[in-house]
Amino acid sequence: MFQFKLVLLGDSSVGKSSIVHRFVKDSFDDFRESTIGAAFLSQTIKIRDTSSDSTEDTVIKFEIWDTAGQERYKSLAPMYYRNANAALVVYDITQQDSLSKAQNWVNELKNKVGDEDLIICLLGNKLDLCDSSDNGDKRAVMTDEAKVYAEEQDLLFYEVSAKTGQGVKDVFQSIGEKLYQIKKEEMLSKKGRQAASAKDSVNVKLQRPSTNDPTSCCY
Amino acid sequence: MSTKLLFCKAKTFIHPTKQAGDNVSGFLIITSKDDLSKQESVLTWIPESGLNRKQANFLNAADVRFGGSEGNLGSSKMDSSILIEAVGMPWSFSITLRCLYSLEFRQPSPNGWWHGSIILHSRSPEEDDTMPVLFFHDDICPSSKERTKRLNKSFTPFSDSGEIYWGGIDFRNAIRKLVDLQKTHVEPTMWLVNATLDDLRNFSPQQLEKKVNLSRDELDKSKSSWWDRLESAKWGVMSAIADATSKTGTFVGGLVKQHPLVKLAERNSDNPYVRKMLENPRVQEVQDDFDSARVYLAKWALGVKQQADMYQKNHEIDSFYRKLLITELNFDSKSDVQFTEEELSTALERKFPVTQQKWESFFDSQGRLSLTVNEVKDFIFHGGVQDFDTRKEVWLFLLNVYPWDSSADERIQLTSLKDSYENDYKNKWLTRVEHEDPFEEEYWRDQLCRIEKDVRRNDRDLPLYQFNTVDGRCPDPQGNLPETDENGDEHCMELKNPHLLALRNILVCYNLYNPDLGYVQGMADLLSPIYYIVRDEALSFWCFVNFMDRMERNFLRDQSGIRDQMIALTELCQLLLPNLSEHLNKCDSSNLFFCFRMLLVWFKREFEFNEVCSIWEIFLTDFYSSQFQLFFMLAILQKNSQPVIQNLNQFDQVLEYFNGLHGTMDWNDLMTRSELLFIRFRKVMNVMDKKKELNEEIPNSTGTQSSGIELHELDENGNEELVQLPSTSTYLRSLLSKNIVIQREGPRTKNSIR
Ligand SMILES: Nc1nc2c(ncn2[C@@H]2O[C@H](COP(=O)(O)OP(=O)(O)OP(=O)(O)O)[C@@H](O)[C@H]2O)c(=O)[nH]1
Ligand SMILES: [Mg+2]
Repeated sequence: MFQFKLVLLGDSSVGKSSIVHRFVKDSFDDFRESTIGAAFLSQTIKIRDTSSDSTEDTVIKFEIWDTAGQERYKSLAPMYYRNANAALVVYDITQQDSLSKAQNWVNELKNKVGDEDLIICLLGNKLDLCDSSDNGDKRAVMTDEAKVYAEEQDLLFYEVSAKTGQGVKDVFQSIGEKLYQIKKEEMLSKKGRQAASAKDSVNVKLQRPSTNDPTSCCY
Repeated sequence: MSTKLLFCKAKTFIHPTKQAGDNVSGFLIITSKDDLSKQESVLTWIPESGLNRKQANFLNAADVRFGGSEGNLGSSKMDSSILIEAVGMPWSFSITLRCLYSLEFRQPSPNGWWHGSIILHSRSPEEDDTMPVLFFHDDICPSSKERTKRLNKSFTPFSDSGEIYWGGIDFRNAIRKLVDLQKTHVEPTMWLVNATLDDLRNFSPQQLEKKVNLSRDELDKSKSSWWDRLESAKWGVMSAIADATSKTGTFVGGLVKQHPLVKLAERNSDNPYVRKMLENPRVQEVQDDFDSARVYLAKWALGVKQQADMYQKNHEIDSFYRKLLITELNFDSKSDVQFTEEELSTALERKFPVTQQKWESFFDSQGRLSLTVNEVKDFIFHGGVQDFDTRKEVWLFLLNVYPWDSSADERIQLTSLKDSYENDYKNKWLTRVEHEDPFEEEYWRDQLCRIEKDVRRNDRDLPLYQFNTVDGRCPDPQGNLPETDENGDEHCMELKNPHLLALRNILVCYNLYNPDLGYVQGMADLLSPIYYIVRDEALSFWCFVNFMDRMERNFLRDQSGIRDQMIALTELCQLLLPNLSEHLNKCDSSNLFFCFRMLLVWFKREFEFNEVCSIWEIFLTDFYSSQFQLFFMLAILQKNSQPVIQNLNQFDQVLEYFNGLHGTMDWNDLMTRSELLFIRFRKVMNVMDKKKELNEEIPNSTGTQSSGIELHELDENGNEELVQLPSTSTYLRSLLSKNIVIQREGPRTKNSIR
């Protein structure tokens, strides 16, 4: 089984915790308490490996760190995103401002983590509030605007709703597949080099070396 | 001024001689004057013979009435002439309740050979002599007879307290509603009125009998069997889970089943050799590949340990902590640092909550405190406040809105505070005009928005905040939970619940009050319990302002205040929990970052709301230290150290473990541990101070190694190269102070982090 560490970043109240709870517990709560520090949750998914001939699904486990959004706590984030395999950077589609906050996060991740293999996914949340057929459409960030940015930066991009659940599973599924792909390649190349010992890959935990100083926040 | 009759018992007798014929029958009554506190109520005994017919009828009727009222106090008006006339009657006496020191309740003999009686003791010795023993002749007292009849009918000759009923119990139940009455442990017939903590402790001798110097042997024995028990329990849990999960086949189950330990356990469930092997470092290495299961394991282990602790505690209450002191806090008879019996019984006796009556007994007739502030805090620290209404008063004192030396009148006149809130802050906000600087304006809007967002999702599971309706009640009285909102659109829902609005208003006003700091996430969590208890917007605002004086340091932009606390905690941990400290070091967690949330909002997210109130109340007393939260944190570390050391070895694991503690902790137990840890800390600091003095006095001497803790060393040449003594750390020093630490945010600029 594979384990991956995943972290959620983004402005306060964009719905990070709601997304995680939708994914992990398939529930939504209008009054979920604000996050302080960070919250930890985990969930597993199955990946079908199309390239191999085995019909067995591979199980992967996400260890998810859901962080607090307010800028004041930004300096703590490195503690949570260190060693992460993927980052979900969330904004609120109905709040223009939250996209620029998300972009700041993307920059920080690219500068500080500086790891090619870190998968960053840009997520627009609260899609349920954007019903174009209805004149109550609250959309403030156009899909194209975010999409263009995501392509430029080479990010995955989705619009979802934690409230209805729309798109949430897909996000994690595709991140999982991508991480699995990377992992497999990594192992294959290793195998090529030292043709041994990769067989018992059952209990592999991906730990990437920490590139940022873990204690940078407080000491 | 009118007099009210609160209680009356007929056929209470004085027996001046051994001759039954000399017995004097009378009424035992309690009366109060309208505008005086319950503490000022007066107990009077009046001989029947001194009363005219009308008066006697009145009191006889009252006796019957109280007999039927299930122990509720009366409130009927009474002709005060009865009391005035009573003064001159033979044998009569009266005493203000607050002047009573103790009451003895002597039960009647079961076979009716003698009557039940009470003996009153006054605080002043002279008065004491003038109060005769009162006998309750239940066989001829209408109210007692009536009550006995009713109890017998329901086949329970016992009163609520489980004692055989007699008239004195009616009296006791009445007086309990007026003053604080505590049964003593030495002498079960003796009850103390408005007892001081010292009295209570003195009369509670079970602590004193035992000495902390348990013999080593005995201890080792109990310790090893204790761990055996724990180990085997853990073993049981693991195999039980493996068993259960093999049937359910959930993922977690699968995960657990794959754990090498579980596999081993399954295969060799009763093989002692396997157990031994598990302790082998190799086995530990195998485990390392299976990190996530370790956190589960750690939690199981803690759960099991807690159950075992509970068991232990319930069975050997006192010795539990005494053993803990020695086994886990490294406190043995050889240590320099010893607890005195007094300190121990203080820390271990946490069972005298501050009741309404107790609280009232702290004040004199002007409503001024008649105890020292420290005595009051001792009560609150060690017993907590029992009921909700009392808590409101207490918190207003603890949060310095009521000055400790104020009188009741002065407190009533706090309208100026209300005005100031309304005019200086709330109005300023409501009449605020747009700021000319667009940046400032944007900041302001941002803050408002942030506050609303957080208030909207703050403690919404509490009934007070639950429903967003104008009156805060459930919109559908049938009890069906309403749909989200009219349009189901929670996103732009306007706040309507008056209590949520109050929270919002207070936070916005605080934003004006302290513009440099502003609103920071987490503050809503801090305000919520205060408002919940105080229930008044203006008073809560001032409480919050004062509370934020000490909490501001948690929210500074550069995190320096929180960092200081973590440093202090780290040093504490090194000093008092060296093993854990070393292990956390290995886990890359020595900065104790995982304590962040607990320190930031004072454990609000780890405990249930009511528990949070109890915990904060204790912190707010500053009884030992203004930073007692750090000792509470230390107690949490200490409590969890075993499972952490055994099972966790990475930063993320430790973080995850401490993130998931909600609902797993017993705050009372932790508070006792905190206190013991503090006392130990204070002693260690003292010993080191002495040591330092000694070292300064005899410089360059190589032979000064006394029996103290060896925290400083001589270098190879034997020169006194002083290793920094922890006692010189300013962080640790500050923990001994009761003055709150105030760290202010610097001026806010355009570039400041929001
Ligand atoms: N309509 C709608 N509301 C949402 C959605 N997701 C979250 N919300 C609401 O947005 C608010 C904030 O959601 P959270 O999940 O707590 O936001 P967060 O990003 O975790 O916030 P912080 O913990 O403060 O960083 C809540 O009131 C949610 O009910 C969504 O998909 N649709
Ligand atoms: Mg959150």
